[in-house]
Amino acid sequence: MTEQPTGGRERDRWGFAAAMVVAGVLLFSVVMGLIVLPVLQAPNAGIDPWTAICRAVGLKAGSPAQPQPPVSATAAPVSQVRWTPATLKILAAADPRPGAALAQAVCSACHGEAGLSPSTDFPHLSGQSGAAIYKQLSDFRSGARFNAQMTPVAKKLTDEQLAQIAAYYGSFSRRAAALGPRYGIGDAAISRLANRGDPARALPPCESCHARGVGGPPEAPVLSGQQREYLYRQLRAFAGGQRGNDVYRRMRDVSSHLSDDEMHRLAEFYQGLS
Amino acid sequence: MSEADERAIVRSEIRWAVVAIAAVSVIMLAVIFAAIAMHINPPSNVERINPQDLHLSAEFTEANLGTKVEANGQITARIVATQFAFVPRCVVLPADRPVTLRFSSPDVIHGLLVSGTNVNTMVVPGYVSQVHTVLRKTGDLLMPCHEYCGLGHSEMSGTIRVVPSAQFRPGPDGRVACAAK
Amino acid sequence: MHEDDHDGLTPAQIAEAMKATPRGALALAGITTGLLMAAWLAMYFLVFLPRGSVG
Repeated sequence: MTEQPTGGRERDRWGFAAAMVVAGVLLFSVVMGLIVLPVLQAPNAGIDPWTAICRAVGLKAGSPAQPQPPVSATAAPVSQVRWTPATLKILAAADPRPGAALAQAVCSACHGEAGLSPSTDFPHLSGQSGAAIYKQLSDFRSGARFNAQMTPVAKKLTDEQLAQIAAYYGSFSRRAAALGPRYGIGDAAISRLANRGDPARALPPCESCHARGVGGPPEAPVLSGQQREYLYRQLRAFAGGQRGNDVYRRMRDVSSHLSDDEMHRLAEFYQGLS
Repeated sequence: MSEADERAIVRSEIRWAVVAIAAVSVIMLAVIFAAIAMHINPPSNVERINPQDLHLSAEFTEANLGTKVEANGQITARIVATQFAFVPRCVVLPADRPVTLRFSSPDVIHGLLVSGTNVNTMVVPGYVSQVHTVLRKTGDLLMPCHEYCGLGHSEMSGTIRVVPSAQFRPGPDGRVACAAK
Repeated sequence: MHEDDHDGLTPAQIAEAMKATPRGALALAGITTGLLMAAWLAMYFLVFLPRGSVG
């Protein structure tokens, strides 16, 4: 009401001018960044102007100013397991009851009742993460990991059965979690390595992947409470190249930076001995 | 407020607007100059790749990671950023020659910079991050992960080993790897 | 209003000082903006560009 008509017109004029300036800057940026510069840069990449514009806009891969490297490689995956929604759905929907029957008939002879192995030759499975069991069984089946006893067993099972067994042993995990982690407490240096890592060697803490539900790679097994003999054998196998089904060398890299002594002490730490 | 005062304020504001526009223009001109004279672009490669299948892909298969001199002579280093390491951990590249670095992630968002250079990019799962550069300084350059990626983030770092061009000797398959130290 | 609020200055003295204030503010803002621009340009031309191309 108190607004003077001239003040309103004045504001409109400023608003219009400001909008024009913003629109002009936008137009200039689009023309300059997506058309003029790519066309000027194209000769350096040895491409035609149209390809350069497509690269600048993001319709084609690459930089408008640089040649795109060719790819000549064949896939040689170390594991066929893919953590797709489909795989996760199979795991989530797997029924542990047929898994329990299968485990009783097939696994328990070596891995013990309820997955607690009586022998140092075989790892405990009780309380292990379902994704880890599924990954290893799949790798035994595909040949990515070899074991004279496990490979023929896994080859007889379907994908769904693998998931059921994984679900059965994984179903102990809540109970195992309730018991709390079992770590050694006596070896301060190795406890530091497991919990803090070693930045000087670019070694991440073991626990950054292997603690339960920690948000690392899904296939990382829970180590707490595992047999030290098994853990040591696997670290040696990763370091020596006998085992190589760890995607992107995660464990081969880490283990190759550990001394034999550290492997022994880490294995004892995780069994809860040291 | 007198009309004279008001005019003085408007004049002052217009002067400031001119200063601000001039500052932005100078910066824009510098960026345009660099883009034309030195072919400098922001590292904004748009190239999709399925992160779940990264380890099954041909390009980012384990055996194809590291430095390779391609058939056309282009020097390319392919590196996977994963929880919690760069694969391979050490990459050899020649000094004073154009090189291309290609990164991807199978798990979460990572990032990297190569110390003392302009190489600085995020590595987002689902995309290939690509940087073209010419490395001037020889020696081991630290390449830390600079995007929080999990509990092992602070130990995640790699090395770019820049060697004089004459000492850069690819094998018959065009590959070069860091010698064990 | 208390006399104290004027720091012992008369209204006439304050009005006199206020005339010069905008110029002081302008000078301060101008120097700051200039330093910021100079820092940006120095980083760009002395650090960023010598490190060579990216992209």
